[in-house]
Amino acid sequence: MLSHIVAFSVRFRGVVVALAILLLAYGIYKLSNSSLDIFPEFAPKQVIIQTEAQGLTAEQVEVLVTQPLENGLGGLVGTESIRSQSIPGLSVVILTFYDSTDIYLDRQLVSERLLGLNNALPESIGPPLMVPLESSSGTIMTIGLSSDSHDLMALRALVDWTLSPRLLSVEGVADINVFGGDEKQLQIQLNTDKLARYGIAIDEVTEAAKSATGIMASGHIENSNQRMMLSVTGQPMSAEELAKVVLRNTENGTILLGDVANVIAAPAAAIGGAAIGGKPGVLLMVIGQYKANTLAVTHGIEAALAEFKDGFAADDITLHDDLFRPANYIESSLSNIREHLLVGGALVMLVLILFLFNLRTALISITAIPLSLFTALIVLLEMGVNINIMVLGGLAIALGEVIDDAIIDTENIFRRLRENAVLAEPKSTMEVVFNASMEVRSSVVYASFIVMLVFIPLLTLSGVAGRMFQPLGEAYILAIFASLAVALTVTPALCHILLTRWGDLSDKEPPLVRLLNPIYGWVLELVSQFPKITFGGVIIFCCGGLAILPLLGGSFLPELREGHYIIHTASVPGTSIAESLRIGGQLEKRVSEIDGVRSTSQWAGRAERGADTFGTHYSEYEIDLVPMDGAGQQAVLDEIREVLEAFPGINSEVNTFLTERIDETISGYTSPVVVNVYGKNLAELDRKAQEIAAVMRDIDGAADVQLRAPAGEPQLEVRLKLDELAYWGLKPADVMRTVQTGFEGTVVGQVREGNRVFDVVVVLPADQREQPDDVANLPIQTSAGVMLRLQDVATIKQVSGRYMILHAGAQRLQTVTCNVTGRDLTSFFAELKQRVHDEVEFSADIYPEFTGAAVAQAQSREDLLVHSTLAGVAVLLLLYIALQSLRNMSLVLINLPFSLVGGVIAVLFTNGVLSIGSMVGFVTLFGITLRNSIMLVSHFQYLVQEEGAPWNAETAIRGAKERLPSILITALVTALAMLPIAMNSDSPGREVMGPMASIIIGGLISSTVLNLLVLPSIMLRYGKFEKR
Amino acid sequence: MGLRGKISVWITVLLVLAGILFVIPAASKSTFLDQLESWFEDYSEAVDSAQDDDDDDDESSGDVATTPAGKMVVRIEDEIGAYAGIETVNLVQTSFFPESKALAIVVDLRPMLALRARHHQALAALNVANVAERAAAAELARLKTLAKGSGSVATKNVIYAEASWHEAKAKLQGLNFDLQATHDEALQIWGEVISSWILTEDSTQWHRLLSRQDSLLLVTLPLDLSLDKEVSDIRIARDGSRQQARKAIFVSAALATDRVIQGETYYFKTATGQLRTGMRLDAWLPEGSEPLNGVFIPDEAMVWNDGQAWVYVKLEDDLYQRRSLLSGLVAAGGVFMTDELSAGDTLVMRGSQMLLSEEFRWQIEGDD
Repeated sequence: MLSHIVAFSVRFRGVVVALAILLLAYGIYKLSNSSLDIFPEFAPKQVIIQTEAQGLTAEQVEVLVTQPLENGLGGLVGTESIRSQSIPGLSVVILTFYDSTDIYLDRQLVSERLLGLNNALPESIGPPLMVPLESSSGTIMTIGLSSDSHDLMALRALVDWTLSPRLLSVEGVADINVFGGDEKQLQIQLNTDKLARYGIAIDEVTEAAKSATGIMASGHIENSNQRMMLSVTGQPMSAEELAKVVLRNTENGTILLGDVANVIAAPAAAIGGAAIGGKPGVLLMVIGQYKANTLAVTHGIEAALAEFKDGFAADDITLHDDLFRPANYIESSLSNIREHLLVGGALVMLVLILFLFNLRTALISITAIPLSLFTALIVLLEMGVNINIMVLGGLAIALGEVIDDAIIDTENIFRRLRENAVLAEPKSTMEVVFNASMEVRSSVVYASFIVMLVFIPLLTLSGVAGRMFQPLGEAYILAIFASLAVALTVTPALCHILLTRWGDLSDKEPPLVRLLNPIYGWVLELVSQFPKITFGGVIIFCCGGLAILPLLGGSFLPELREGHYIIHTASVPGTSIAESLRIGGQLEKRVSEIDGVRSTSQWAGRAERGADTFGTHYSEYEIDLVPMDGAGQQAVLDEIREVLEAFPGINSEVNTFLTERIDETISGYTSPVVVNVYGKNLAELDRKAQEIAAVMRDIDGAADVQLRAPAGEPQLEVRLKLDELAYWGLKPADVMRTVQTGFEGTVVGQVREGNRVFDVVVVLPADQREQPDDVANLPIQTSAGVMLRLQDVATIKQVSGRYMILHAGAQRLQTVTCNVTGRDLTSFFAELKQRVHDEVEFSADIYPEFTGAAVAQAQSREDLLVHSTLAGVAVLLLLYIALQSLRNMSLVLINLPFSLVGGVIAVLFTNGVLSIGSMVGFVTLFGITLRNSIMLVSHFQYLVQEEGAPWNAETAIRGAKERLPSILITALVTALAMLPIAMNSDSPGREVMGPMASIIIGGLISSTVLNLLVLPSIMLRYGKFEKR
Repeated sequence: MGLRGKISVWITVLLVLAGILFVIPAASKSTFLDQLESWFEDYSEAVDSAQDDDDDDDESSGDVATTPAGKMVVRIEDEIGAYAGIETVNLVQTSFFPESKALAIVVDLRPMLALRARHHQALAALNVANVAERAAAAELARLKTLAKGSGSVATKNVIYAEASWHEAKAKLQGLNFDLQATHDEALQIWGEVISSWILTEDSTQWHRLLSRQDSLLLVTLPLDLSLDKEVSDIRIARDGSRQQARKAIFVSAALATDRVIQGETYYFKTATGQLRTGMRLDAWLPEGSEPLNGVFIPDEAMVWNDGQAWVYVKLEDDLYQRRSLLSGLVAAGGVFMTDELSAGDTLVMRGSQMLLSEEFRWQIEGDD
């Protein structure tokens, strides 16, 4: 079949070239219209349901909100897991669906179930809302507003009613998370002293306010001619008007709302706060839609913001539109990759010209690069894959390789045409081109398939790693496949067109090859004289290289140089927004003093529908840097870490934004040992977890034993005294409602200011919602009109509550985690299981589960091992088919440790850390190495089988010398194509590919040197070639 | 390769091995095994350190320690304390009158006036009846004398006169009862002291009330409070401001409670000034007669933990200790402490929650 394709291409070369040009043109068109993003959608298919339950404790949220939702949502088709978090004021239920499901269908299923669940929740809670479907990398931009002349309430109103709606209308925006600012309410702030003096109950005020506000439909009148809508106006709409509403008529006169309450516009109870450069302000996080184009959305947002700029400036409002702009990273990455492609392409061209010494052959070979890469891009775009850094990375590492097939082909055709030219009776050009192509076909085809096969396990990786690296693997495999197709079609066609016209071909070998060949022959001869020393040296070299492996650290991704850092800090639960902002102010002050930091901003707590669901004790900071290289960014990072480490009372972490998002996506604890205890009773769960922690601490090798979600949040428990309630004729709900109105506020209606609508809320003034004594002194009125204080009918005590209650599979869960040092994990796990089983008693409804990152990793390692084994077997089969000798096949495999050593040394010389990218580098390297070995060994085979040469040192050296140019060219081309990325791997866009490139270059050097010098000796000593 | 070639190779290998085995250990004065072992240890350490995670946190300059007395303290270097924005003040000795807050109302005098009027009417009627009884008695005596002496008066007339006298006597007794009832009513409603003001003709106090020089206040205490016996005056204010409050003098305990509040009630009087009948006022009642000496702790310095309020005190240069406020007395805007804390102690005004967070750092959920 291959021969037909090659024959067709040579015969209809014009058509083939025309098709190739068409493909290039279409590729350029598609690329210019494609969307660009940072990473592929790496998040699992999740539907997150958030239910606001203001004023409820974690326990109340769990029982009243989370549990009914979990029960209602359980059992949906395609659900992989259901987890939940209940924190004060918020329930978060996370449904994870299998990757094979359609996320839109999943959301449809969830929303249908949610419709029926609204009624299952208590009044004034919710409704449960699905967090908008957003892209994995989430944030498109972070914008801030601050002003010296406007208060936070005015800024927030501007954001909520003017800026946010405009930004939400930009295509690709999923949501705007607003942090900080004061949400405006018209508050009827109760004066408890006056209520007690007049003997007025809080409920009475609530009722009076309710009857005064609220927007109601009024209907219409209709007669035989006309219909007229009724519109009731004149309701109290301002604080002054509301203060005049009659509360009670007495014989002494009329008591108005304003007599017992202060009616003013005041901020609602906040769930978060924000500061820009340490100064209070409002932060907006623009969230991108699923599969949105970050660059396009960013430009859309910037265009929308430009509309506001003049108005803001005139109004003395500062717009901070540069707090965080992920597009910066994409732009600098793209520019870096573009530079890499240009420099790499130029280097490739240089090598080709140096080695082939013929511009035409160099041109023919180099056409394989754009053709293969554009073919891969077109296929990916048609498959609906967004172009992102991983796709570009796959293409970048394929850059050096896609040209290999073409080089081998061109080099051989060129050589055969030269040989043909000096023949007495030259064959027809078509025949020479066809035969020369077919001669190297087997090594090209098998080698390409092997290179593709070794990448297959990458496509089967599970979890985030899989979702991140699959596009890279796909792009790489597609490019290699395309390069094979190009080598089979376009290259022979172009060779025929370009090499047979326009002047005679020189019959001499290119000068560089002429220079290298004798030197190589001499070295090879020398090496083959000392086979034992050579083998010994090689073994020591390989062992030395392998011994370095355990010295290398590991990380999921290398440090990304996004020019931006995100800091998290957490204090003990219960820390107020004010204190979090105060700490943040101090931190921001220190961080902004670091050279290279351009802007800082902070948010504490959370935003409605925000991706992060944390309490007021939690803060996140955006630290944006001036443009600088990787080393500069690292220096800033080190200084930020120093600042954070010195700071008391906080746990902190600093990451780049994308690392952050990926960490957040890898759900669950990342400790190697995790024991989950499932049960119903929280106290019992805590007790069992503590017993397990005690057992754990007692086991050799356990370190950092931690009980997760400990009870530590300060709560003020109001325990009703039922006897007292009965004596005074009070119902528990009366008291609870009064407490709610006092401290949470009761919404009694809405008022309008133009098109803005604000809640009217009855609540205590802010300064009476500060101390536990304020709760104790809350006035409660009995049905007989007697005024009591809350402490008269309830015991008020400060207790430690839970900040968070976790569920997995709709069951309560408490977790103990630890690290293991100084012993192997398997024996630790075995001992832990045995001792927990022996020493901790479990009842029927409480049971442990032993898991952890180690277990999960073991599972994915096992998967990877199975897939790699399968791919390995397939590679061996292909190798066998290519070489047709079991012995030669085994000898070719010796090249793998050769390449591994070079790769490992390269890692050691770069940053000493193995990331998944490095693994990909090794996989690529193995493929390339095997290809080179096949080329050499199959040529030996060709010499013995086709040309009838005897298998001896002379043939081995001749074969090696003849293959030297193509092996050197392909190796050099691949290495040089990688060089620009490897040289400056610590810069935007190159962080993931940089380590891969270093490994490929290192491995290529070692494997090429050993392939050229050692493999012939080994083949000579142990190989077997027989004439058929 | 010839025999010579092979021998030279082997000699080279042997020389290298000898170098490794003897020369290096000799230079480092340790045996080869020691050297090997130290290499191995170095290697293992290098592997261990390479595998350690680079944790960002948990290495703060602050930590938790215990004093020799076994109390927990947080250690934060001075430089870091300033860096983290910890602010302190030195506590100063102050005096404090513990007070309770109560509600007061300016009493309407009209019921008193009515009572006083009824009392006057009863008194007047009694005087009339007294005169009538005395006249009836005199008439009876005269008729009796006439009848006994001259027999000019009919027995029937004497009997009539006697009946009239009995009638006048009964009337007098009835009016006496009325007067007593008014007294009793006054006592029941207003108590002994105020009743005496109402019922005494020339009561100066009553005149001061009537001329609105003074106002009478009914003070109702919260349910669980009683008035200290020693208390002779309290402070009252119209607008809830303790600073603007003025004096009111104890009059007596009231006999009826307030329908709305149901606590103990007392009458106080105060100069009328701008007060108007029916006005509701705030009152502050001292809980003892002697001021307490101690220190005042503002609310801003407090943190709540384990069921009680605490503050942090700076002990030495870099040590902070948590102190309980359990024994403190609630005061406006804070707590007054007579023990546990004293003048001269350095109180953390800003950063208490951060210190609490440092002390209970283990409660902070890990970031993973």
